[in-house]
This record gives sequence, structure tokens and C-alpha cells, in this order.
Amino acid sequence: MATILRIASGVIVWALHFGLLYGFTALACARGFQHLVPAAVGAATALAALAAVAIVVRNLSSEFNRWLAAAIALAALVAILWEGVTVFMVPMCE
Amino acid sequence: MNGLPNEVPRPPGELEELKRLWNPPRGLRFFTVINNNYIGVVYVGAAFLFFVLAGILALMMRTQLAVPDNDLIGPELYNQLFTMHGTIMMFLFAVPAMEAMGILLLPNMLGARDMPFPRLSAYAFWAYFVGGLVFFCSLFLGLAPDGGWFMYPPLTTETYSPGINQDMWLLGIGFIEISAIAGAIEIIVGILRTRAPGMTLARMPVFAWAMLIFALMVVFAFPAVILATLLLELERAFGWPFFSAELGGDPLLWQHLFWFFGHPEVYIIFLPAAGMVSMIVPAMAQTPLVGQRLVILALIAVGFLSFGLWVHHMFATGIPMVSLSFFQAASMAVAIPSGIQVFAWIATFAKGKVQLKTPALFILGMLFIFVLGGLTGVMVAVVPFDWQVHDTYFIVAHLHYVLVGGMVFPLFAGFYYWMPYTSRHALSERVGRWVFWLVFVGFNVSFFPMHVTGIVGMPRRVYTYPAEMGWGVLNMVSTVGAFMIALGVLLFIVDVARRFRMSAEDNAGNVWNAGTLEWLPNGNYSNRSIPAVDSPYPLWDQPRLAEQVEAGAWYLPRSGTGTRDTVVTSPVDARPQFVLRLPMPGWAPLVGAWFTAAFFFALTFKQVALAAVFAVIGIGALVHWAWHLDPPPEQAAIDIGGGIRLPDYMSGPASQSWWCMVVLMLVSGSFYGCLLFSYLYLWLVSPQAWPHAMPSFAFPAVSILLYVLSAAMLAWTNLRMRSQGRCTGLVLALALLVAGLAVDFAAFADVSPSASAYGAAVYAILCVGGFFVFVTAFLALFALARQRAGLLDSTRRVVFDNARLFFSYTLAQSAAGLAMVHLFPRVAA
Repeated sequence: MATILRIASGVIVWALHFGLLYGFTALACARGFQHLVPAAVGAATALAALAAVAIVVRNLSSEFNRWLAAAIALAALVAILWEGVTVFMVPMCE
Repeated sequence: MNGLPNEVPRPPGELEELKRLWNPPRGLRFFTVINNNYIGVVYVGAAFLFFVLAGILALMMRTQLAVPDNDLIGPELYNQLFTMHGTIMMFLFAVPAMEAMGILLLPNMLGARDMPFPRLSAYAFWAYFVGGLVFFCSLFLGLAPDGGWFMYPPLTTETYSPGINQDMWLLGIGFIEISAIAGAIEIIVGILRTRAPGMTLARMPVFAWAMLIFALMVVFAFPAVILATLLLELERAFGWPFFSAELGGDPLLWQHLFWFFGHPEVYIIFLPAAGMVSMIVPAMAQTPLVGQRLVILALIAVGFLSFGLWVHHMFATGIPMVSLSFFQAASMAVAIPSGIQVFAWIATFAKGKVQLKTPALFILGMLFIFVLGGLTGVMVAVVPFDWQVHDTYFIVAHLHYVLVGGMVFPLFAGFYYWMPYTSRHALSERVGRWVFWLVFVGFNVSFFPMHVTGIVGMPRRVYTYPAEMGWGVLNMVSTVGAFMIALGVLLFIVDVARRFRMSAEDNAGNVWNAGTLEWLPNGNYSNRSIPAVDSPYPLWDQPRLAEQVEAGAWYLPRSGTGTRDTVVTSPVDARPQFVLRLPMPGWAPLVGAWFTAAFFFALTFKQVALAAVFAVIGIGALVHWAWHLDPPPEQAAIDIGGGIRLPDYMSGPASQSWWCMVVLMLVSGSFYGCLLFSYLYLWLVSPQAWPHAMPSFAFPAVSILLYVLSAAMLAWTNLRMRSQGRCTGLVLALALLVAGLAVDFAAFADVSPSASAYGAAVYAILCVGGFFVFVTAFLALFALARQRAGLLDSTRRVVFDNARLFFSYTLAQSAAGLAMVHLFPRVAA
């Protein structure tokens, strides 16, 4: 079970980040505190990216299970940055 | 054959016993068959039947649209036709076809004798088949749903769609999805726990990886649509306003829940198909898959990214731009891992020496069509473009390019490729080429013009159009193409009728010189002995493996327990752990499935008394089934060969049952998570519906105390179970749980579920909590009954472990629900 959780850890970080992004921006737009979105999303993205990097670093290995954990976390890192950066490129809540 | 686990030749009688144990029942009892070789084939056949039926509906629609101002089919029937076509293709063909292929292929591919819960496979099949047929027949009675395959409210609410047509969809499809989840649980446990010794995750066939991700996606995605159907049915039947804006509900809640399921659904269909392609391409090219690790990574990446795409079906609903941008980004990102797979297949073809047989043709066709569908997918992921083509025929073209390219072509490739595995004869190569070209050309003739039809403005779901719009020629071309596809499929059916003769014992064999285990010599018992593998292509890397396996030189060349059995291995490294006794055929799964289906359809027709009778019979069959599971430990050490001696019983995390329960808890958690999301969503969009005065804090304080006491009692019972083999403490733990639930209901006695979205959301959480308490009580009482019958003790304790796991989950869920309905509104206020 520990190995399976390790392999899935990148996915879990991505899911938490994505859920937070979507939930927070929806709440901010509905309740009128959209000015907090860039800071909150920026902080969440930085934190999630750090977590993903940590998973990659801890699992650098050619052994398959570790390689897979690292590779998934790397894919998650790309997705986290790619999705997080959009908040700085489009108008808020329009 | 020196150095192998077992001496050969094997003693006389071993093979005969295996054959006798695994023979299918004869006569009328054949319907009780549970072996994957049979259930898999009829499951695939049933899915194909629904493909043909939905295809006939498509032909009717295309005939209607062939010319402008056509009055062949009226708008009412047309609405039913497109709703049923989409619903059947997605729910009764695509997902079941993939599960069916998994059940058919996985045991042999993994080196197991059968799936770990063969009766569950049979139950899933019968529930789906009977439910699906009744659902289809609603068309003949004019009772078919007509709100589109995604059933958007408010159109589908009681106000705008009275009658039972939409109920037929809500209850019928909700029920069939439960069957899909049952199949997914079976597949996850099968892949993780019944692989051949040595088949580590790195050596696992790509198809098994794809099916594992597919099944996990089903586990997380399908509960959302089951919840959505439940909420809409509650609104239709009892007026709980989840989707009625005037009482604080929101129709967009449906869209969120539906597409949280619906978009992963596209990849749920695509991933197993991609897995099949990754098996067929190496065999056709006679070389290992290029970049196998990257392909596995791509499958996983597609799997999780697909859960971040659901809002791209809702770009035109007025969601804030910043939220849309996340989904736009994720929609573009998912193209990358999909592309990795396509490049890996092309590279494998380029590296090897390709046999351009029918399976390879279908894969080349798939590459062409799917890539085109993927490109238009990137186009519609761009929000401004999506707004232009939203709900036009461009979308119809895009989704068919993705689904037919991504799933139907690989499935046909799979039919041609694996036919020799399950039949005495391969399908005809000459006819196969005709089938391919008719379907491939027909598809492009039919659907390519729809891109243009959509861009020039033809909306989808219109039953006719005026001649002056100028869409006539394009529509006529599309109709001609549709009939070409039909001709191709007809030719395929004729070929199957001529050539397919089901036989596990005497199949055509490894005609492709493929490298994976399903091509070992087979019987109803799967392989004579279970090999240890040390590469992803054992038949290529261990040239004498087939001969050794057939001679019985590998593990467990006989029945180790005197009944059907297989070796259970550890989930990551595939080390042998115990010999699992598998059940024999019986009527219980069939009766249970038929009466579960009957229960749901009686409810649809509002025959409550009849539904209660069916429920009692159905539950009775399930109890009978469960009562005969969990046989007692008999042998501490079964010699499977090579000096490995395994027990025939295991409890706790090593048992297959524990894994089944954990996956069931993931399903439940996903369902409940969607329910809590629904509560929060309604609060977000309708804060005015939430009251200022909340129930006294004494209620949740008492509830939480009762839940904590119940948890303590459960822990004490577990200790007592270990030491004395007694679980009587479950009675008190259960009483405390029920008392906690009663207090939860009492706290909201003054709130009406039909007065506002707030009341509806609170009561939905309470009622779902009540359902889980009911199931927990059922499991606990079942364990107590088995203790009373002398079938439960400190060693033979799997039934208690299952009840305890579910009990613990229910307690945690109840606490979460309590926090949501009592704590959250106070904090938010």
C-alpha cells in the first residue's frame, strides 16, 4: 500500500491544487474578494509545485516504481504550473 | 524441464480434475455460468448488441436528416432517438464493452485462473444486460427519455417533462452504473492481486495498466452521475429543489456533477482502447512497444488530468473567465500524454516489420481518425472558438471523431486480434479488409462534412431544417456515409456468424506470434500451470514457456484445494501469498441481478409495493450468495511447486476481500464528496436560502459523543474478536450509531426538504447518511448471524473485518456530514 501511495502522491498533490484553485476562485468571484485570487493562487501553486518537486527528488531512480512516482510527480508539476499561471493572464470574474 | 517448480510428467488425474472443476454447467444451469471465458464473451456480445441497436437509431436519424423539410420522423420520436442513441452508446455499449474485454482477457493475460470474484462478474453482466434491454424496450412504448443523453434540467424536471420518460433514464442508468462499478471493483482487485508470480508492475501488460486506470476512474467518476440522478429523481418525485432556481437550487449543479463524470467518461472509454492498441501494435510489428514506460506514464497522466476538464463542456454557461482558464489549460495539457501514446505506436510500427493484417488496418484507421478528433478537441478547448461552434454539428463531428476513433476502431482491432483466443477460427482476413474500408471510408464520408455543417450554422438535435438553409447536400453525404458504416458492420456480423465458434479448450491459438500470457495454451481453467514471468513479453523471452505451462511444470498445475482456485500475489512485486478458493456456479448472482433490475424498473413505474417484493427477493439472493462465501481455513500449506507452500485462507490487508472493501470505500467517499460539493455549491450560489438561525449546538454535541462512543465500542469489539473470536459488541456499537443518526434528524425536524435548496441539501446529507447506516447495520447483523451459526471466529474473520471497515467508514462519513450541516454554516456566517 505504501508503494501504491507513493506512486499516486503526484496525482494527489495535483488534485488538491486543482480543487483549491477552482473552489477558491469560485468563492472569491461569488463573494467579491477577487483581489485575493492572484496571491492565493500564487501561494497555492508555489506550495504545490514545491511538493511535486520534493516527490520528484525523493524518487529519482531507475527502479520502476520510484521512476513512475517521480515521472507522475513531474507531469503533475507541469500541469500545476500550466494551470496556475493562467490566473495571471485573464480577467478575473468576468 | 529441469529447474522448473514442478516435476513433469504430472501424475494422471490432475488435468482431468481441473477440467471437471472448470467445466461450465450443462442444460438450463448453463445460465449460472460464472467463468470469465464465458461471461466475458457474452458480455462483449451484449455490448455489441447495444452498439448495433444504437446504430440502428442513428440510421433512423440520418434518414430523417437526409433531405430538408422531411416529415418521416416527428420531433417527439426524434428527441427520443437522439437521447437513446447517445445514452446507449455511452452507457450500454462503450463502458460495458471495455469492462467486458477486461473480464474476458485479464485473467489469462495476468496468469490467473479467473477473476477474484467471478460471481460479481456474473452479477454485473446480468444486471447490465437485463436492465439495458428493458431500458431499450421503453422506445417501443413511447416511454424512452427525450431530454438528451446529458439530461439537463430544468428541461428534465417534473415541470417541463412530466410522465416517466426521464425517470426511465434516471433510475435505469443509475442502476446500470452500479453494475459498472461492481465490474470496476472486480477489475482493480483482479489486476492488483491475481498476477502471475514475478509479474511486477513494470512487467504488467499495458492493457492491464490501462484497465487498472480505467477502473480507478470509474470508481471516482461514476458516483458523481449516480448522485446527480439521485438528486434529480428526488426533485422530480418529492419536489426537493436542487435544480429549481426559484427555491435556491441551480440547474448548473447538474452540469457540474454530470460532467465531473462525463468528461472522465471519454477517457474511461479511450484508455482501455489505447491499452488494446498497445498490445496489438507490438504483435503486428513483432517488436516490443517503444517507450513502454512513457506509455504507462501517459495513461496515468491522461487519467488524472481528465478530472480537470469537466468545465470545458460548460464554457457557454457564464462561469467566470478565471475559472474557465484552468479548464482550458487542463484541456490543452491532456493532449500531450495522448500524443505520447500516438508517437509510441507510430515508432513501434516504424521499428518493427509490420504485418498489415486487419487489426493493424483498424489501428492505422484509428490513428487517422483519433488524431483528427484530437485536433478539433484542441480547437474547442479554446474558449472563444467553443462559443462559436457550441451545440452545432461541429461538436457532433468532433465527439464522433474522438469516440469512434478512440474507442470503436481499437475495439474492432481487438475483435479481430483476440478472436483466435476465444474461438476455434480467426475471422476472415479478406472480409475483414472489406469491413475496414467500408467502416473507415463510411465514417469519414459521414462525419467529416459535419464539421462544415456545424460551422455554417446547423445546430445539433434538430429533427429537420428548411431547404433554404443550404445544408441539404452536406446532410445527404453524411447519410450516405452512415449507411456505408452500417454495411461494414453488417458484413462483420455475417463473418462472425460464419467463423466464430466459442472454445477456450480448442481455440485457434497464437496466430499472431504475440508475446503475452493470454496466448498460452488455454482451457476453461485458463493455463494448466501458472508461470513465473520476468519480462513484459514472456512468450518472446521464454521460448519454451507455452510447452512448459501446458505440461504443468509451473506453479499450481492442479487444484490445490479440491475446488476452483488461483494464486493470490502481492500487489506490487507479485509474490505468491495464498491460494484463493473461487466459488462455483450458482443461481444467486443471476436471481439477485434480475430482481435488482426489477426493483428499479418497478420504482420507475411507481409500483412501490411490487418494488418492495422484488427488493426482498433480490436481497435474499444476495444474502444467500454472501452466506456461502468465506469458506473455513482447511490447509495451512498447499504446495504450489518450487518449494512454495501457501495457506488457503487470509484475512486482513492480505486478503482479496479487504481490497474489495477498500475500493468500495473509495466509491462511497467519492459519492459523499460529490454530495458535500453539492451542498457547498448551492450555498455558494444561493446564500439567501440558508437560514440565520441554526439548530441548537447541543444536537451536534450529542451526536458526536454518540459517534465517538460507537467508534470506541467498535475498537473494543475488534480486540475481543482477536482474543476470543466474539463480535457481540457490534450490537452496542450499532445502537450508538443509530442513536447518533436519530439525533441528526431530530436537529432538523423544523426544516422542510421541499421548501428550499437548503432544506433539500441538508436532508440529502442526512438521508444518504441514513442509507450508509442501514448498510452498516446489515453488514453488522450478517456478521452476528454468522457468529451465531459458528461460521465466524478469531481466524475465520473476513466477514467481521469487512463489517468493521465499512462501519469505520460510516462513522467518519457521519462526522464529516455533521461538520458540514452544523459547523460550516456557522463558520461561513
